[in-house]
Amino acid sequence: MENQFDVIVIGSGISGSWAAKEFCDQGYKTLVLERGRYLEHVTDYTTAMNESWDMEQRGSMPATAKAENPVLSRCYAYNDYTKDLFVPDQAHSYVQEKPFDWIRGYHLGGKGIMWARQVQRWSQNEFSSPGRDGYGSLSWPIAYKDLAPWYSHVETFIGVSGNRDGLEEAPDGEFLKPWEMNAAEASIKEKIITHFPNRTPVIGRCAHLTEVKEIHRQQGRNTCLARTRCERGCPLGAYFSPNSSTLPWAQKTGNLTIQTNQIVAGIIYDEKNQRASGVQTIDRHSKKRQTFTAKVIFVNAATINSNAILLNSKSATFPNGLGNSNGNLGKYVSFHNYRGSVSGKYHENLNSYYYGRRPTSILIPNFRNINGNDMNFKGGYLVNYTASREGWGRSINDTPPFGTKYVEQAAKPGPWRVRMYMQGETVPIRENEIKLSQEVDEYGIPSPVMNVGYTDNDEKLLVDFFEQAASMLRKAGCTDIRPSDTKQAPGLDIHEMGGARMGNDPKVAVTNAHNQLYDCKNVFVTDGACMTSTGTKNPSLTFMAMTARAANFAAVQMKEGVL
Amino acid sequence: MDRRASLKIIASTGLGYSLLTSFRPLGLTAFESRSWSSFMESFSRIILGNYYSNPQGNLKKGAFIVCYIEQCWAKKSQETFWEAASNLQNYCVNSFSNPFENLTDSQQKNIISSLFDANISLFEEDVRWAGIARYLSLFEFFSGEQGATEVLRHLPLPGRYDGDIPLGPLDTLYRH
Repeated sequence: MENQFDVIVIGSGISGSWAAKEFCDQGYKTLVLERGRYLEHVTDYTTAMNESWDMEQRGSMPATAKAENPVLSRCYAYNDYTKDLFVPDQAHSYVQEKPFDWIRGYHLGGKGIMWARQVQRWSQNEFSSPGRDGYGSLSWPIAYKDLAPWYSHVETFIGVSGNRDGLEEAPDGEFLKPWEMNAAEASIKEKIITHFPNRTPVIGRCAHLTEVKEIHRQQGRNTCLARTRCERGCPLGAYFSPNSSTLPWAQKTGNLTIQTNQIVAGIIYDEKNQRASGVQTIDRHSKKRQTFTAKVIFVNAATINSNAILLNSKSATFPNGLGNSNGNLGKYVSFHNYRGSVSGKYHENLNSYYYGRRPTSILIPNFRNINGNDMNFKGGYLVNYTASREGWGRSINDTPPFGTKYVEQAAKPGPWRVRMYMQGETVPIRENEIKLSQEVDEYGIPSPVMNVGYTDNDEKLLVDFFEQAASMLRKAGCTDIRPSDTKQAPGLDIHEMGGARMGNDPKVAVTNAHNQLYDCKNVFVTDGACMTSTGTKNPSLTFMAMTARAANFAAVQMKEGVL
Repeated sequence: MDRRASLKIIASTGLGYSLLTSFRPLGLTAFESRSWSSFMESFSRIILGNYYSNPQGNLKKGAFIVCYIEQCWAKKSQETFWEAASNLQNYCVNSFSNPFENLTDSQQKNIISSLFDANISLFEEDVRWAGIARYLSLFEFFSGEQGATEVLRHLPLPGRYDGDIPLGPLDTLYRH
């Protein structure tokens, strides 16, 4: 049977490709469905080696493209080099009941090509705090210890650089050698530790190969050369992407089938057997409908599309969508608050510079509400910072303001500029939701409606960040300290989560502790949609670990004949 | 007579800038584009000093800047920029009977010095305009191959990251 598989994975991005790898490794015939085009590792990274002078506008986007893509144009990674990797605003429209910047990549590997590659383990506090401090209406059904071995499993395979810092709020992992702090960052770190004993800046942990182990060699990946042209696709496979790592690995088993240009219309529910029997797709070009069947279905289309697919999977038993019998599917959507940043000038280490381009920053793990709720807001935030020398674009007050000496002065490294920015937890509330529009797209599928906004809690957390970041910079000796609130809409963080949250209470949760839909045990949700809360860390590593854990659980259940 | 030659004659008589000052907000004609290319080329030449090179006598820098503005800036910003540039051209024609690009080096340098002098006003918001025009000249230069590789230190494949290297007095920025 051509369209029959053991497992169907909807989505080929970071989490979907992990599901595919785990099932293929265990011998299960696995189909990965991707709504976008095929993106071949290396050969399809068409601008990866381009210099600015190879580009018509030196990498800047034309004004017409910006005007046509107001949402996309706000994304830091969208430019003339990467434009073909992002979904244009009008290509798959959605309704914004409140402003929401939805950033997407519809191609094999999804956003796993353009992602920011920062991978930190969550702390136990992040799993405990919603239940302990009473927010989000749901406790996590798992603890750090449940995920720790899966974090190790994933880290070993993808390659994560980092330092073993021994911090409870930033648990150590299976690290490759860390990137270095530069002289200014290191000296600021010492001052922060002196003045704020519960705050420890550490070098960021990121999915870049600072050294190549045998497992990476088997994937055909190479050491990172510190180019930081990452969002264009890395021909070296030096950072983890589905295209360089998990998908080709799964392909080598002979158990993987990839179908691109297949838009999932819905999951088919078999009323008689009370389980999902397969997935219906629509070809992106021909609009031909197909049905694929499997014993197990993993939903990994990324948070918004995963919710939309489930909401659109209607049946006699589940008229409001599969997984939605308690009415909470699509609710409690949350994200990360990146609005605040504070910068300052740093006047030490002026005879020091740095070589190469580092793909990570310094992070100060969350120091708020660690042992209980002792602030006027719930949750916490982590602080990232970098220090760099100002470039030629700085204002130079030379006289005369032109000529050879002026250019030479502009070409010299300027003073240090330190920039701190926040990654704030947002509290899941029921009103923040994804639902379906009455209007349908060209495939007859209802468009997602985004009704997600900030809360008072986010504003209080932002105020605290501004005070604390300014205080840390001041104590470090910085001057010209400038706060900035981007006031950006939710979504631009590209960390949207929730809607099919995990929990032990089926009256509130959509998925259980193993990521199975309470309504339908052979459907698993392991991307951002399953997240009970956002924590303060970048979420992708947790998506991957959660996926590997759930896939191995499902594999055992299939072997035992339960699924 | 080709367009370039006719432009030269019009420009040398100062006639061109009465045409250019009636600036149209919706895009430049080929004639205007070439005129402004010549103007921005001259402006960049003064900004870049000895780093300016133009072996074929073409208007590559000016043409890039004009094209960049037209392609990448919002219409309103373009309009504001060229209006101010027209003001500068009017000043040059009224004071020297010639557009900026036809003035001597010394005249051009004096004008640019005045533009950056907060105590001298050649036209409204001249300091701000000059800052943007200078930024564009540097952007063209440092994002181009010559500036990026011969003045800045170009690292296409750094190979590693070293967080603490000594900075000598002659060391320039690594190009990012």
